[in-house]
Amino acid sequence: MSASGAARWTTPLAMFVREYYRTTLNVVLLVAIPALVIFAVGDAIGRISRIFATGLTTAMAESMGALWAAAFLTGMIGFFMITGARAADRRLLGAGYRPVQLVALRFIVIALFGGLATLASYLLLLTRLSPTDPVQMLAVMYLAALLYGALGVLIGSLVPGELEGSFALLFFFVMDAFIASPLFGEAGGFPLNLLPTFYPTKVLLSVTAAQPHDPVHWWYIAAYALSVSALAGAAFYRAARAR
Amino acid sequence: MSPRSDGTPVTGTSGTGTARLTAAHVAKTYRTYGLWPLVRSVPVLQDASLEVGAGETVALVGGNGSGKSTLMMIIAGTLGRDAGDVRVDGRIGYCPQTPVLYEKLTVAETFRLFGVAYGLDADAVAARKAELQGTLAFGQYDDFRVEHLSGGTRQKLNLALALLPDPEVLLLDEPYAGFDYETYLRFWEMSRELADRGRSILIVSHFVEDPERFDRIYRVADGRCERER
Repeated sequence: MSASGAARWTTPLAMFVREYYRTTLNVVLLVAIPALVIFAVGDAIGRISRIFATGLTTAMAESMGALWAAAFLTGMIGFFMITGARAADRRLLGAGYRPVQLVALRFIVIALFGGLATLASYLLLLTRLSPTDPVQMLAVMYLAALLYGALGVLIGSLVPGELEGSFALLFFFVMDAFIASPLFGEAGGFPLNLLPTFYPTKVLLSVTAAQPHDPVHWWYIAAYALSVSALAGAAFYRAARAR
Repeated sequence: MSPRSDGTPVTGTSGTGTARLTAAHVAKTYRTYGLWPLVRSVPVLQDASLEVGAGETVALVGGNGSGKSTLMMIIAGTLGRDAGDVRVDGRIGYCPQTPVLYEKLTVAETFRLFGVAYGLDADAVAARKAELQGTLAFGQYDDFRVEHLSGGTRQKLNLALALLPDPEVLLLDEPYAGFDYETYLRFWEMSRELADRGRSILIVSHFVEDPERFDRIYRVADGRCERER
């Protein structure tokens, strides 16, 4: 008697989801981080940008905060999911799971919680503004979240220590978010456009301001997310196999 | 069975017949990655060989850091080797030295997850779970999360997961660490029954208190694995 093909997907998915929500701090952060970033950071950036006349409105800063919150939360979810279950995942592989299947399962769970982080950030943002194009706003926020989820997996697979890895992710995020944002002027082009949130921020700000944007930016974002996901998948696969 | 790296098959005989598990000339050096002069190499195994036949219970002993757990991880396939060959005829059940479990899952969920990983259906998992929990006496913890279990109960679950698919070859690294004396005796009773059913059991231990329980004893020292008894 053997387990059905469906059970080999649904059972670990259900277990990985439980693992996440049974960590109370994860659930608290799902609301606390978007609230903090949108209301506090967004408001502060809005005031600073008025002083320096960057053209960034408070609404833009708050929507940027929502994107950052969704991205950062999903990055942390990806990172801690990989580092926290590294040994147990390896045992699961020894019991019969293929590394490719485990990689796919972990990505599905991250995509799921990335969706929740995006939704939580978006709902909190709605208390501050009424987006003219909610679909595009949600889509760009979700893509940024997925991108950071993959980055979390990548760092979690490459850096052995939780402390070093979480510090690396945080440092990278802070640099990316501030340098890629238009807070410091209308910067653009190489190498700033290589930062993960560069194009998502561009699209998001255009959508918030109801301004047109170049549709090719969506392709850049998708290509970036796919590339980082492929790298992260390869790194996780390599780390999950026998050392 | 996997062939030797040069393509020739490894054959050997244990004390009771054809070997079910053979590790031949295994070598392993741990390397830390970094910039010179921080890179370090620690040779652990140089030429370690052992065999376990069907129905045998074999001990692998040695001091701290001698490499016995390393050898077991290599046999289990969770650690790569630098040289040598490992052949295992049948399914492996591996019980790591430290319980490796998902902390937030309950005991019942852990059985279900690993049961699916082993390819068992729900009925088979339930039957084996009841049997193992009865033998190791931890059926009352079904709804407890792993993070809330005592050290001894975690170890019981750790061992039970290795036994879940009723594998032909059991690799048990300090399996009774943390057990009370009653569970320790029950463990040996169960091991005897498994060996009688033709299962091959390799047990890592710092020292052997009851040598008569083993068919053979190997000692790991200086990177080699010598038959002691």
